[in-house]
Amino acid sequence: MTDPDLLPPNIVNRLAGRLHEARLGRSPVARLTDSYPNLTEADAYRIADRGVALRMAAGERVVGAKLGFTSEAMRTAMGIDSPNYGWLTDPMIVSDGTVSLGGLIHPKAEPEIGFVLARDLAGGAVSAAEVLAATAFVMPVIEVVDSRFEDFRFRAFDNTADNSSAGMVVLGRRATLPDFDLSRIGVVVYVNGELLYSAAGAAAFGYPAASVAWLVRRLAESGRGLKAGHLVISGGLTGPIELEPGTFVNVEMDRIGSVTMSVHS
Amino acid sequence: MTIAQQRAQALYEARRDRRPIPPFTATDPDMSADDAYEVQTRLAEMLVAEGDQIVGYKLGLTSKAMQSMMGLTEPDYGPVLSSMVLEGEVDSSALIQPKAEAEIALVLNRPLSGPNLTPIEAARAVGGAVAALEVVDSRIEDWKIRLADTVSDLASIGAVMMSSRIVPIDFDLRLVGMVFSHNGSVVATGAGAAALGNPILALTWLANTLAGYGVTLEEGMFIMTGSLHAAVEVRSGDVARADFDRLGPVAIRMV
Repeated sequence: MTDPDLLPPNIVNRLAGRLHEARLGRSPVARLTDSYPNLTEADAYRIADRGVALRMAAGERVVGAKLGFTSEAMRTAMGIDSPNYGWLTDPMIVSDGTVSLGGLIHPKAEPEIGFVLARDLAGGAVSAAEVLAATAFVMPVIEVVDSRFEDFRFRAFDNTADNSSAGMVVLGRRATLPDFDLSRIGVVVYVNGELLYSAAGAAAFGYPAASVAWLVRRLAESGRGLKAGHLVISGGLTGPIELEPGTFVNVEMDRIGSVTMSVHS
Repeated sequence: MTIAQQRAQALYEARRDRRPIPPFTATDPDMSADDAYEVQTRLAEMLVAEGDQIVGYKLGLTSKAMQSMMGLTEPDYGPVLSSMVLEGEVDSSALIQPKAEAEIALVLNRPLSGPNLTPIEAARAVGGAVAALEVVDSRIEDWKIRLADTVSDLASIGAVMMSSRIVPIDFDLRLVGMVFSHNGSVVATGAGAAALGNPILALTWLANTLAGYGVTLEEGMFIMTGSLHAAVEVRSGDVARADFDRLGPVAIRMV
């Protein structure tokens, strides 16, 4: 904490507190980079970590992680060359397919492949193959992202500080890890019965397991890792799905199964 | 010469000379789909008279996004001629403004004719599915096409490339994933549902629509059921590749 290039701890705490309150009060805030244009990636993760600490102090538990900016087009648009990550806590997990907009600011949804780990996974050289070997099962999920920034507009490090826009995760049913290439798995999104998107697994970082491996290697830089039982959602596979009360989303993934979400006010 | 014959002649020359022409709809905004299919038929006849042969059909405008962009609620189609079916390499000097699209092709193992076919009846005529790439091209300047222009222009077909594997279908074609790469980078992904909801529905629509013109799909013909992603511009030296789940890969090199 003596690095002169880093923000002082009191500022990190204040910015984390601002985002925490924005979420609880459903009232979005200005981008951090508007006030701190030189905000670094390291500071952004410190703010995010502090935000998770605030949630844990309120009794929440870390149950997994999410990836962001896993599409190359998105990284190019944001001017960055690697994905980012955020932490998932237990109140974010939705097991009954029902999402209430009441606790969210301006949510959007996207389908993803989730990995649930059979054992702890850490290390700076972890490969996609080791991710698969450590995976207990996969599941189709719908991530509901929500930004704490006004108009859902942010720069890359704002988003990192905001826990990568983590909102909710709607779980599908668990599936055994298929014995075929996850990058080619077909994904089809229906909204209110109409086809909205189709995609394949490669949309997440070229290969969903590679996305998880990137996360493990990134965490190793700060001496951390993933735990047995953690759910890692490997990155959005399609464009955003707009949500309003009454929206019904059905995502089908070949061989893996389906996940549905009904949205309420 | 009828107006349809004149238009077919203009497109014939545009193809032959690689010199695009203005859209017909610029001077005839009321040109109908029926008018355009008449031009298409005349043009195909001219090519067949030279010794070419209709070996299949392609569907176009099968995605909701494309249909709403063109203000349509239906896809379109055109014949695929034997000379357009290539292997491995596509001569870009033979094309004007090519783009590549990955598609699922269906091969018929018996004749299929509408009208009033159900998807189950259509599915029963299918021998298998094949990984395919289409290079679309337009003989209309700058791709400034409305429905009647592209229909007249053989639904903007350039060339098609197919895997040699005909895969029997015991899976859901909607969910067949596809990863499209351009010069080694993944630039698009999609799944079979992008083709009119289901490639089988695309085939059903085609067979029923062709029945209105007295045309039967023959045994051995293949049907390109529509792009699974937004078309990608390709030029000489480029490699376009589609990796399909279940159906395998297919690639082209533009030379």
